[in-house]
Amino acid sequence: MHKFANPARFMRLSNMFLPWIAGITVLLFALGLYYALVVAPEDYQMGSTYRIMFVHVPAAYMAQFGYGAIAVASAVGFIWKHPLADQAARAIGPVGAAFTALALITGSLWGKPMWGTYWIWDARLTSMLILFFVYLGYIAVWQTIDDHARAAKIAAIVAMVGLVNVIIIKFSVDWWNTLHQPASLMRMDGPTIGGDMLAALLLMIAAFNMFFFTIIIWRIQSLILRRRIRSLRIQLGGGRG
Amino acid sequence: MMEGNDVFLLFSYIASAVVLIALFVTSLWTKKKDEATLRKLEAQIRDLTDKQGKK
Amino acid sequence: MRKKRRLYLMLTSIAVLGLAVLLVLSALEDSIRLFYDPTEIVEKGIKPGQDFRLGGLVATDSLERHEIKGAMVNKFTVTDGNETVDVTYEGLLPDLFREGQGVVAEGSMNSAGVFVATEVLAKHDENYMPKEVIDSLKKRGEWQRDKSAKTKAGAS
Repeated sequence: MHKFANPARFMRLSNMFLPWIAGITVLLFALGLYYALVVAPEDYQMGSTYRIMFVHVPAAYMAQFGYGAIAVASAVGFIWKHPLADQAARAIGPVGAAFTALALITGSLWGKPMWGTYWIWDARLTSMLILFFVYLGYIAVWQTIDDHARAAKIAAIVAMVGLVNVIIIKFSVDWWNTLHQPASLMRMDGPTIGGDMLAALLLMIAAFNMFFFTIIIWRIQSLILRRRIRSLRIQLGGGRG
Repeated sequence: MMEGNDVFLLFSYIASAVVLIALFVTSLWTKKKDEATLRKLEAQIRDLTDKQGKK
Repeated sequence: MRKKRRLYLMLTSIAVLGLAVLLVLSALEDSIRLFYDPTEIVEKGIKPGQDFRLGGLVATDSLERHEIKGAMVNKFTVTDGNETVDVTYEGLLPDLFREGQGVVAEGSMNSAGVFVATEVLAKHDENYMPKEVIDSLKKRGEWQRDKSAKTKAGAS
């Protein structure tokens, strides 16, 4: 495992895989959008408006996937002191926050025409908003604490505390009565959506996921480069910056 | 059916495009900038060691 | 050895934190829930004038629309399969408002035991289906619109 934690090795491997991952992302988006906007039929109740789900569900999924990834990476960084794991967790922070914001925006654009309101303080919407603030707090820890080791430790603690909220998001629609409907995809008795609608949704989720990996790789590379820049500046005689 | 709601559909796809493009551009741009900075610093260090070698 | 200690430290702190949050949430149960269903309203005997949210299914064939002095007054019944509550609402109903579908209304009971809504929101269920599929199911008489929505309302 330590072999992969070597930043130089990561740079080499990630540069090798990057064109493939980026290529698959483009392909999935093309196919996904074609399915979402052309192939998938209109819903029997919501007409075409339900197509908002093809961006809303992937965004909400990535918001939670990103947080799960931060939690795993932070735990690995905290317990085994992998330098790369901390960098990965740090890199995901702003991306996860952006997807959370997107899920909230597209959700409210869907809520207005269908429910009759942009926003309601039900358990699902509120816990999703809390996730956004947890992300902001997580980003703030890395921004404000200069010492890398200390920042990594505190960020890992924040990540663990926030993990409880992600579990609440998932089960909020089952534990309490909410305006938001229960899950259609990740449920014990199989999805309540089928055919081309399901295909479109899965393609878009896959596209968002590969997009996420593409930009996370760039962001981790950036963080590794910046550590090297910092040490070179010190070598050059205490240069500031 | 419900043509009046198409504006919500349109806005949600526009919002998604804006967020994805912003993530893409900032991530790639930051990485390119960091690479350039690193190359510059490495060149400086090489110059410095060359000069020291000549003395 | 230190790694093991850090691992245990983290696992126990997550467990303790999770338990604490669980306790808080169960204590707050009443304020986290969005609405009360008709059975709870009948059982609790809510006083007239007290503001709260009512949730359930719009009973089939219960919707009546009257135009009174230029305003649209909607009357319908909300049911949870057990008890029912009559609702009046003055204003525009959301697109997804259908008989047999879920609804969440905010307002209060009047002295006659009718729920006067100030806001009506439509609740969508978790089912997505193409129009054509529904049409053919209806033709064969196999489609019961409120089957899935009922299970959710009953579970709350």
